[in-house]
Amino acid sequence: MKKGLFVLVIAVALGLTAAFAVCRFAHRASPEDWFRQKFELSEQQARQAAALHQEYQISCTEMCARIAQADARLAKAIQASNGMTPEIRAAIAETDAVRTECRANMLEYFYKIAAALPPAKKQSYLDMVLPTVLEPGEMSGTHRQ
Amino acid sequence: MKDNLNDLLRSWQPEVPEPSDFRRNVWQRIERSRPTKEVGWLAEFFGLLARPRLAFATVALAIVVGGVVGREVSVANQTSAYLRSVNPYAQLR
Repeated sequence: MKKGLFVLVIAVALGLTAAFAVCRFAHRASPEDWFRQKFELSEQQARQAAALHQEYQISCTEMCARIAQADARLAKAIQASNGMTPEIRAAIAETDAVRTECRANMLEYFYKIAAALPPAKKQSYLDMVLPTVLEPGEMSGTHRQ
Repeated sequence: MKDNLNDLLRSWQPEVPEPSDFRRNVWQRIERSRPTKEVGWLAEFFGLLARPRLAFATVALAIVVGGVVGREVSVANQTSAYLRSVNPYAQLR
């Protein structure tokens, strides 16, 4: 019985080690390399996708800042009032408008990337990213200013 | 001659008397040879694992499963990192 238990412990230990090693080894690849391997891109397709990604990153960062600013304006308007005001309504509408624009930009970027992928990989890419447009999530409180 | 032999065999009675407690002794020996306690399924399982071939197969299977799980976790992490990188909401977190 002790021998069997020893075998089980060794098997579990080696299994965990293998999982950790594979995970670490796979993480050594850069995001670009990972993307290229996952969607089997050629050199040209990878360059095109990287260029689109860099271009989008600029607008993504801008969007991120605009969302934070709109939220901050809304928070300030709410704190400065004891009831609903036209300013608060406008601030709420602005946060919604910025988020809508952000989601539209995201979707536009996803379609551009999908167009740059091999035809067989387009759908799997869209399946992977479209939930992000449907449920982009929310910011944590620490970033609201 | 053959008939005589058959008659002789039919009439032969073994002279060694069977001990009166013969049957009881047999059953006592059977009882003694039984394990004192029931072996549980866990003990049976560990007993199986102690066999060299099964031990080797178990370790090999654990390594393969570990590798597959590690790969899946890595893919999930990298997918999640990509989605965070393209989502302004997530970037603010």
